[in-house]
Amino acid sequence: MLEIKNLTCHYGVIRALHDISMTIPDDGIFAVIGANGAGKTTLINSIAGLVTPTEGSINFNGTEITELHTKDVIRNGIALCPEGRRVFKSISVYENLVAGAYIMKDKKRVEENIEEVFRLFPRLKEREKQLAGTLSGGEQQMLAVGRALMTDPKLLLLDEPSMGLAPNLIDFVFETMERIHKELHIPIIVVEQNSEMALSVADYAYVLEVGEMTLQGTGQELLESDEVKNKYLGA
Amino acid sequence: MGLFILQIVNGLVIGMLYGLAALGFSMIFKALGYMNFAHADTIMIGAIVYYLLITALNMPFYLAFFLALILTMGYGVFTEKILFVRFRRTSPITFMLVAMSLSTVVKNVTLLLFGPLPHGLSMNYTDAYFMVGGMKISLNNFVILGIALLILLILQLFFTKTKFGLSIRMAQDDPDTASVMGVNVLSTRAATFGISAGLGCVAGMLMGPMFSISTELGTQISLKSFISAVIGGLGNFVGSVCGGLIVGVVESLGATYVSSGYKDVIVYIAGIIVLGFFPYGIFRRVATKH
Repeated sequence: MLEIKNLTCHYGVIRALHDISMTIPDDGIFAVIGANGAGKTTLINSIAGLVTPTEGSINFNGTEITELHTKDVIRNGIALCPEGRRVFKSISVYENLVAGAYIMKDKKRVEENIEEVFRLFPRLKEREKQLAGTLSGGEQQMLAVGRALMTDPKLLLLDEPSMGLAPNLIDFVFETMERIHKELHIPIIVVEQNSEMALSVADYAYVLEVGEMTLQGTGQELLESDEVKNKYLGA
Repeated sequence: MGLFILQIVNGLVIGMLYGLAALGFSMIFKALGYMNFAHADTIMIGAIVYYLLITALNMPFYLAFFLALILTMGYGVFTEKILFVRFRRTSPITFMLVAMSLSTVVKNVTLLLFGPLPHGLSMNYTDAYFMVGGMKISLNNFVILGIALLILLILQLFFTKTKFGLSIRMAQDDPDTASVMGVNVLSTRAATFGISAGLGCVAGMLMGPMFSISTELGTQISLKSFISAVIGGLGNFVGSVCGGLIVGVVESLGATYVSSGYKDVIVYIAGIIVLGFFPYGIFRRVATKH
């Protein structure tokens, strides 16, 4: 369970997040939606230890992770699939997966996880020797998600997984998310600008507006809320 | 025909060494996105340390080879740890100026210590030769090629089979993401400088005896290896070695069939023409941010 209490973050004097509290249980898909600059990525990054909060606390399964460096956050079972995919372009697909498990000492476990990722994404298996930079955008997104799964995470953070992808691939990304949740039983927090898609797969969702949480509810409730419709669904 | 083959062999040998030095350039460029013009010093330092160990301390050449290699790699790590690491967030121009200034300091200090006179080092690993079309081709060439290939093989195994090698490649590709995955980017940077210096050192040690050993050695070789790296596509490791081979062969054939006085002119003009057609180098495979 991830518990965020009164989280506030600043970039210099600019306040990016203000007094955010949320509780993420061990099961479900959780969406955070909002416009550009609403603080979505800052929220994900502060969970992942890339941004140190100015106030508040983040607790994961009883461990205080607020001040931890990213690699220690990963050791605690949180995986981050960063915005813009960020696969290692000049190394092979297979090596990208090995790279994802950099902190893992157990080589056999790493091999098993690679098999698991290849089972989820057979396309990656076909391309395992290819350089990641030669993959299409959709395949790179699969690789980025697969790489994040390499550390046996107990919580997966996805930052804008649909960014820059063709519409048919966007469907695929959200289907994948549901599959990962169902097959691997990992709770997922997804940050998205594609609000409609995100809300339709989310069990519970949060709306951020200029760093403050303005709304929350189940995905269905928010899809039907007039405020969300007007601001984010373009209806 | 014999002359042609002889010149091809000569070109490949010298080109291989340009390639090793070019690999050093390329590696730092890939990791940092900056050109390290102080790389030239490692070629000179390698050759001079090697020379001194052999002549002043009477060391056998293989021992001198390893010791000089280790010392020069240490020098590479040292420059990163005390100097370059402080400039990791500056503009490429600043970095370039810092590297050039360091290079000038190092070259002049070496000049004061070592003296301006060029020294010869006779370095015959073997006296054997064979005849092709009436030309004597020394087996020495192949010993040098063999050493260079062995070093490339070791490097290849290190980068593909070891975890530390993988972490260096991760950090070269995307330092922020590598750091997120638990890689200590500062140590991979230092290792990159060390390996790069080691490559320069090997190029210097193998090439020194072919020319003469002086403080100018680095400058002579590094310009050619720089053009090799650019022709091969900066940051592309296979390309750097191939670029070196191309430069070596063009230089060698140009010197024989056109005029030895014009060999540098030929190399650089050929380089400019190649870049006109392939602005990112011949061996570009993946679009990179550079």
